[in-house]
Amino acid sequence: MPHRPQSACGLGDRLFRHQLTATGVVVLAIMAAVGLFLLLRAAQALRAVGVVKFLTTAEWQPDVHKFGIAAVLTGTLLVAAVAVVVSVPLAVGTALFISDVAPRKLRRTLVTMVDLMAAVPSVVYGLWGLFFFQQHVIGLSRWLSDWLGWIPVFKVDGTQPGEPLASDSVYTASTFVAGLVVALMVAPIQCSVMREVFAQAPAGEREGAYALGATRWGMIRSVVLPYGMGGIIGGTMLGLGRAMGETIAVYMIISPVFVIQPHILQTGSNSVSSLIALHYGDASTFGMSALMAAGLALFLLTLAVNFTASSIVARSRSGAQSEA
Amino acid sequence: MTVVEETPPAEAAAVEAVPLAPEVPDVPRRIGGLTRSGVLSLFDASTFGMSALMAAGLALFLLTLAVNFTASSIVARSRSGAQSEA
Repeated sequence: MPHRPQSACGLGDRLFRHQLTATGVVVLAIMAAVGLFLLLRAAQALRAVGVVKFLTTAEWQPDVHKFGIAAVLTGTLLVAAVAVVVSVPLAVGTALFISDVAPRKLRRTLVTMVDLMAAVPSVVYGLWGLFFFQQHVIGLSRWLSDWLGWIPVFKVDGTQPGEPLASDSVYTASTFVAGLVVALMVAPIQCSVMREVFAQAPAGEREGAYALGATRWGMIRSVVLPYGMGGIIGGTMLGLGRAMGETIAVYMIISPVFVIQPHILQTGSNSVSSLIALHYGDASTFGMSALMAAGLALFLLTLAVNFTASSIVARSRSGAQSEA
Repeated sequence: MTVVEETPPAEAAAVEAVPLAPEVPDVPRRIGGLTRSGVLSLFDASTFGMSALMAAGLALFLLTLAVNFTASSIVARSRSGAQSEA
């Protein structure tokens, strides 16, 4: 550790430093307080059934002590998985286009538009998804289940491949539709993170790649993408964290079921946050404690994902040099 | 905070609510603590009530749009100089 030169440390400097430290501590303390609150309120329910049973039960009937988050957690993870699978290629492509391909004049406009996409309230995404988007996705859902129905995830009970008379309603309100809408909500955030990292790819190595005769795509592949790998992973996981917590749009689109539903194209799904939104209005004291336990599980999950993401992003930037 | 109940006009009440609406879940009638997201009450809205909710959504959309445009224009202006003001 090299010796850091000490600047003159007046009273103002020290006060300022303490103030900044205090601010940082307060942020952490608030987060810990949220976790502690959830833990305390969830204790009653968790003590009643035990953690293992809570994690493995699919039903939600807290008043007869039969409840657990197996179904809702599966739903949350599947919605998030669909969202990430769709949004990551979209975000990587958009970020590359903005940072390396688009004409300079267009860039600012595109950045603004992507930021605006992030600014649309999620309830508006939900309305749009429910009343417009869903009807247009059914064709894709039907096609996927016709051709890929032999893969368990794409199977839809009650349909045969190529059966034209199957009702549309088996494809509505599914994990897939919710996942697509959530994908559009998380893509802008992923795109922003990736664009920032791509833009930092060192100019010298870009020029070097061009000088060695690389095409633009060759340069992107050999300089920008390796350099931005941390940004891609970090952005993906930030989006994942957001996708898992997304409440209102998912709540509006899915029709809740309390069985483990692995078929993403089939009607009926669930997620932890929409479970809470659905039940907190009419929950008893014990039911509320059970909802708190579900909330605690979601909180810990998103916390873990976000910590991993930010540590990956931080590590990739700290080197500040290309790995190519 | 209470959710405003929609009282649909008689002619609108007869109209089929929404094509392809999902199976309506048992939404609790008492959802409090939400302001504009009282759009939650959409599951028991008529066609006309739905249009009113869409209008509320539009208002929210335009408001966030305005805020974000202002913000991004301020950020863009401060960056365009690309030099420290210190």
